[in-house]
Amino acid sequence: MGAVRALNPMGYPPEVQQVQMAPRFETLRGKTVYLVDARFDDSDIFMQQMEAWFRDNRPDVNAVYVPKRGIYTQPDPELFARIRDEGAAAVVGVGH
Amino acid sequence: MPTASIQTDIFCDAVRQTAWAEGMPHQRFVYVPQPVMGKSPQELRAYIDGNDPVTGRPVMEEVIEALTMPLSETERQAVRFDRSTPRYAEAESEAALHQLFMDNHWTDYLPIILPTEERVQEMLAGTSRRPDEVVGRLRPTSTREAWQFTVEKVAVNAVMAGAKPAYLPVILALAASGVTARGSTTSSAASMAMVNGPIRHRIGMNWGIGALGPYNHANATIGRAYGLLSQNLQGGSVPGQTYLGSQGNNYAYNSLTFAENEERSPWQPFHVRRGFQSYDSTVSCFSGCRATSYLLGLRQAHWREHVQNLLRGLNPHTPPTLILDPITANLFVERGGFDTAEKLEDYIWEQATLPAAVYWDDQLIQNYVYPRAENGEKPWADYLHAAPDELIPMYRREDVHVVVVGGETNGYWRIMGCNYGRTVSVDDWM
Repeated sequence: MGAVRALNPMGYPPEVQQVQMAPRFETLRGKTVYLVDARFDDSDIFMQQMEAWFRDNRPDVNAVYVPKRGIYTQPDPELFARIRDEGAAAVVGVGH
Repeated sequence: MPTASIQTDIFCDAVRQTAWAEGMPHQRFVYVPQPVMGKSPQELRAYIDGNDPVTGRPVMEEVIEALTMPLSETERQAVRFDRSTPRYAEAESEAALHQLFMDNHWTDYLPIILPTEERVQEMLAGTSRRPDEVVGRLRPTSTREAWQFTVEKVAVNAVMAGAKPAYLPVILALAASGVTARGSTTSSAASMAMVNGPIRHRIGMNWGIGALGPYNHANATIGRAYGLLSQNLQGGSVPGQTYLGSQGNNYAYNSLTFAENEERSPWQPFHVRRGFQSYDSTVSCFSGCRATSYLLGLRQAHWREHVQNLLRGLNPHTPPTLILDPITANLFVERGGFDTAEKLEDYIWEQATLPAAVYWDDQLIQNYVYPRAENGEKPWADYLHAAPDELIPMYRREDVHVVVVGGETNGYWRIMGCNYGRTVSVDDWM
């Protein structure tokens, strides 16, 4: 114990529940990958350029650009359900 | 589903910390350079064709790997998220304890009063509430986890700020508001707190000359306590992690804390207009304080144009709160016939307009309003079909406010761009 003691000013953090990671595919060949525009500061242009990269470099992947609805802090349940039903993987960006 | 998350490199620490707190400690991130905003398609394609500035590896190679590389042993393992808040902080000397508080980012880097058990006990005499009673929760931004805190924890931060026990009910009410004074936004916003009712007299607050400046013990230390409790009780306000304000904001030292000049205002006090009685004591919280514009008085011939110029100087995403010296408040009554504050707020809302094309092209409107308009949220959805030159309101009527403060040494007044949060009873925390 130290010679001088004070009370800690920090609050109490909530409990954290681990979210397990999804298993990965061996290859993306023939799969649909959604490129989700998070709707923040020109992220639409960035994600459209990523779609173009897939066209140029990985035409075997069905890369689909899609903007989420609502502001970047809000979930888009309709889109997320569509990606879950019709997609194999997702790239989300750009957080900045 | 396999997911890769793209971030800019400046947020590396912040996103890892957020992912950990969301239970995803091994989330696969790929980084590109900051900024993305304002870059051409060709420049952004160069980011994509280039290397991750954090790892030095090709961006798209990392994206493909994030989606295809099998999970490692570490990624498959269950993680223990042990964390707790020790009751005490200890050191070998008082100087060492002060240093520990600074090293832990628990201060605002001005000298603090160390919150010893004895001092916190004295502070707790300022309220009848139990020390272990939960006051509320705070978070740096809506997407981060909220931390919980008790009456005692608020008292600890009040001691650090140099507040007196008599101020504690106001400080508890601020803590209970749920409106943080240490938002993490990259826009470097501060908060503002205004006290109404009899408590202003009882604790000797200032609503006259210099009320928003460093000239009153209660104003100064209540405001400082609001900042310290926000950063500590929400789990931190650490640059690069839980604070991302690019430039920072000097308002944050005291959170613009003052009392309303009810006695010299021509209108009902702010809290009465929100359903409280004049004998109630309250504190009202505003967030998003960054921009101000100011004017002297109201000239007879062109005061309307001068007011409109001030409004056009604000960004269309952060609504105006008029902070009026009583001299100017009375001028608004004389010149415009605004015999209630609500009539003046109506007028300000009507005058704050922009051509639709200019409004929708604003970056903040693009980020925060356009997506809501697309979702059908009113009133913005109604403006989507406006002609490019058509003038549309910059703000929602309910977001425009008027308060009165100042000592009548002159008729200077200002507009603070800010968001009204809540008005909280101070009496409930006596």
